[in-house]
Amino acid sequence: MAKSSEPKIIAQLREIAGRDAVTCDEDELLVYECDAMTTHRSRPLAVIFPRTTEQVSRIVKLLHENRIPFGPRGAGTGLSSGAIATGCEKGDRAVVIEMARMNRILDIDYANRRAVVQPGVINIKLSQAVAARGYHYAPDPSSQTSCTIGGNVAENAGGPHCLKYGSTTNHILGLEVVLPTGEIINLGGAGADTVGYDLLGAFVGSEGTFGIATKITVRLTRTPQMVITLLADFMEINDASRAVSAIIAAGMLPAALEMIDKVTINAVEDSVYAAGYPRDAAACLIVELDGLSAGLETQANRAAEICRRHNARTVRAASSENERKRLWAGRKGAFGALGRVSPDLLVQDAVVPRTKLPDVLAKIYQIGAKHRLRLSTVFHAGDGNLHPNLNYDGRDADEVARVHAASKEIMKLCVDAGGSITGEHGVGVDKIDYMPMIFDQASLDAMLMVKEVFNPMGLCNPGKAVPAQRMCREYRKGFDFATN
Amino acid sequence: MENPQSETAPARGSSLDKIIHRLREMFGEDRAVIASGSDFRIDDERQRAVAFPHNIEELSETMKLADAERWRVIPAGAGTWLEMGNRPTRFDLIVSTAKMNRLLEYEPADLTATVEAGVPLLAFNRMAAEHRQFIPLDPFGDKRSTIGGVIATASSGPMRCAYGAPRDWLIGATVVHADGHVTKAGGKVVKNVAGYDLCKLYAGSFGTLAVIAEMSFKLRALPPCEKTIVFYSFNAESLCSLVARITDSDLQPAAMELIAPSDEAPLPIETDKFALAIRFLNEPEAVDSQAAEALKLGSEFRRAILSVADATGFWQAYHENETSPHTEFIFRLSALPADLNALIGDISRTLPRSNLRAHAANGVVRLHAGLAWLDDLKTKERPRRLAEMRRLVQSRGGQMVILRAPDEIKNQLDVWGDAGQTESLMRALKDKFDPQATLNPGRFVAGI
Ligand SMILES: Cc1cc2nc3c(=O)[nH]c(=O)nc-3n(C[C@H](O)[C@H](O)[C@H](O)COP(=O)(O)OP(=O)(O)OC[C@H]3O[C@@H](n4cnc5c(N)ncnc54)[C@H](O)[C@@H]3O)c2cc1C
Ligand SMILES: Cc1cc2nc3c(=O)[nH]c(=O)nc-3n(C[C@H](O)[C@H](O)[C@H](O)COP(=O)(O)OP(=O)(O)OC[C@H]3O[C@@H](n4cnc5c(N)ncnc54)[C@H](O)[C@@H]3O)c2cc1C
Repeated sequence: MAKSSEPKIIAQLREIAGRDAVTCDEDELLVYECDAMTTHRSRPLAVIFPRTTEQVSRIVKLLHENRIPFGPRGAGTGLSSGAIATGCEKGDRAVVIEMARMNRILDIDYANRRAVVQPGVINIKLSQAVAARGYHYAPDPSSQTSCTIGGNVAENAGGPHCLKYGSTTNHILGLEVVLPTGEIINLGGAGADTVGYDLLGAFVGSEGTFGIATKITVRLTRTPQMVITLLADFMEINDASRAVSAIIAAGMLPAALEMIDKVTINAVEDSVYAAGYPRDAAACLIVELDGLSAGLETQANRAAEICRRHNARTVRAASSENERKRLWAGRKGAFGALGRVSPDLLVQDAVVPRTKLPDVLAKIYQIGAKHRLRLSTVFHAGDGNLHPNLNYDGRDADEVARVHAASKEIMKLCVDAGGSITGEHGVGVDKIDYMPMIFDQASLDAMLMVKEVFNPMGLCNPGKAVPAQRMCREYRKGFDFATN
Repeated sequence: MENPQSETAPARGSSLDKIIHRLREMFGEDRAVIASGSDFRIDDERQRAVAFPHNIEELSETMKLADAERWRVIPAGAGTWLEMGNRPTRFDLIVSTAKMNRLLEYEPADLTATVEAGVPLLAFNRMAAEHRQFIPLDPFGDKRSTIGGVIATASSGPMRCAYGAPRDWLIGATVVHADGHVTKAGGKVVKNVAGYDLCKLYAGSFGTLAVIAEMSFKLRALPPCEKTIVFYSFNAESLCSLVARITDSDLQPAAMELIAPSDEAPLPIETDKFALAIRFLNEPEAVDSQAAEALKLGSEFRRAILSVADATGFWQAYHENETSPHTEFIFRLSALPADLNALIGDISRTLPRSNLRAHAANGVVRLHAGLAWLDDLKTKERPRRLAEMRRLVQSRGGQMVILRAPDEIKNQLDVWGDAGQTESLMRALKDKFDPQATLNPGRFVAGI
């Protein structure tokens, strides 16, 4: 796009955020075409990088007044295509509001066990900032070295340790939000109780469709006195999943309870994340116990005993902090390692009741085999949150078709078992067609009523989270800068 | 802060007899009663019609009938706390879910359960205790209190310190809307981000969005061991600083209650000083080590370690005391946890001689007082003093809610206080869910 004929809206956006803060160069826009899920793509009209709440508000107001759809974006690590700019109709384009430059930690308040951050702060940066004082930010998605807290709020992100500590929603105390009209409001009491409806609770997990979080007050969690991390390996995957169910049934509450299968183990061991997992095992469990040191070993022994009773070949405890870190690096690097095995990777995120794990897992492998696919699993077993992964080559149409068929069957299997289509990655664009599998139309309509309250025009992140007949109420059809 | 709507007694549209007749005709004799006295009492009405659907289908049909007849409905559980809220602008019928009290699903090995709204929380927890599990909520109130009522009011008690609020345990809900249609939110698994989290909206909505029919929860294992320690001091400040030290330590108390001296409250501890009661619930080793550490952190204070029997007696009395029918005023004030001492200072200057207790780790204070409490103030001065207290709390970012007060006060002060910037969003939400203002009209924040 030639500079001389800078479109009016672009000029106005640049006036708000600065010349270097807006890009509409088609090559640069390519980066924003998808997020970490590559199956869905949509190139934005422009990307804008605000630095302040006030800028976000003015940008949104401008787009709202011009009836141009837009959507917030964090680090783009999302796995449901929530951060791609979709317009109000198929093929329409939209503006991406990229929050990465709003990345300051604004306040750390130990007395109230809370911190105030801008949405672009990388998850792990906050934990690092408070580590020396014995605190951390509990939600720890495996992507925590790159994802933003704003993105975590939007997805209600989980992670290995949310088994004990809860998901993002349990750790958000307050939000400053720019509503889709540009109005700035505060939700929640930032640590003090408020009155009325829990709008804060509704905003968390709304996938960028209720507005843009511009300031986030989070709970800080005391770092446990002691951590014991066990690695148990099994020669039968069924034994591993029965061990998981048994640990939960015993009423134990490990900090994390993760499962990694053979295919994943070998992908990890072949990668830079090599953690020393036994390559010949059918599956490994990482069982982490944390808390007060008094009595923790008794707990760990109990967990180890349960694993042995379910035929674990070996159970060993990480003997040093370094070894513990390595075990986790392998787990958290698993998607990355799997990603190198084939051109494309589809990560699923279904949840089942924990007693159903052994049965469901066995059937998932059967589905993979039936469709001749390279299927692996690495997941938050303690929560029943499965991540079946399908490695494939997007250029092979036949394989793509089999991937979709298998995906659907797996989804149906989990839903029939009493589960959900997504435990932490969100619905986004990717799973929107699956929503009617778990909610009838009336229930979807109730959700859309709440969306109407926050986002009546529908311009903010259209086409995500909950399927709607009409994505936007009023918008500029096929808007294009070149002609405006 | 004025509440003009509640200056008059609630207007009643249809006659009670007609309502009862219609309900009995449709659902059977035992599905509707006329209650009087303190039974399901809302306001100063003498009698009221109460419907008791026995299952979600009947609840839905009842709401459809109410919608067709344009009856205003007050949803209820056991009806133990219907006084809470502003005086209703109007109501015709109370719809109680108390007879919907089946346990629908409970798989102990999954640590999840699904119940109908009318199951009493205590009854559920007694049953789950056989599997050494519980819903870790201990709200104040009657033992009949239903789970639906606890969720609708977002009620929690001292254990909130460790276990959080109802919103943290509710994973799914089925509700019946004002026009009778049924929807679901959430699900039955412990981790779920499919769709918007409407459960959060229903929890604490005080029956103004929809009637809750069924709920799913995640459960916790019952801790095998517990210990309660009480620290004493003649001033609140020193105990608040102990709270701060504990908050900044590795200790994980299940409850931490600050109790002001009082000669009214009969508690089995010393009541002539400030007391800080700390309760640990955990594995035996962890309880012992924490108790030892707490005693070290609070070494300068006079203290008592309660025996198991004394601790049980104390917490029971503490709960019963909180909802004593003889208390005429109950307020709940909130602030940031670290501002607790300052808040107590505000209170002692503005509303002296009220009986004060606090969830010390959460910045929540409850004030109790008898009728004679404001007697030395002129009638006009009373609401002014309360409004001043509310202003002080709001300036700290918190809120003052009137849980109980004589009509004379409720007629002049809104029960909830200012909803601030979110008022218009809340109103819009109510309009979407209940466009005819059928449910609990006028009782909630912002005139909702
Ligand atoms: C290797 C890998 C491992 C992962 N592991 C986990 C895991 O363990 N647990 C888990 O839950 N997820 C996991 N994820 C998924 C992803 O990291 C999370 O969903 C994360 O929360 C996304 O953050 P982000 O900053 O990248 O957001 P983006 O992907 O940029 O955006 C995600 C959504 O948030 C919205 N959004 C972004 N910023 C804001 C804002 N300020 N206000 C409002 N809406 C906003 C966007 O519109 C979009 O809908 C993983 C991803 C990868 C690639
Ligand atoms: C004197 C007193 C003081 C209290 N103090 C506190 C306190 O300080 N803190 C605290 O957290 N709790 C407090 N509680 C509340 C108590 O813990 C319970 O929340 C309450 O008793 C609920 O029980 P219930 O079944 O009788 O509900 P009800 O009294 O029948 O109803 C209470 C409210 O919930 C709504 N409701 C009930 N069931 C439904 C349903 N199925 N669907 C939709 N709405 C419904 C009603 O409309 C009403 O607004 C107090 C209770 C009493 C009696």
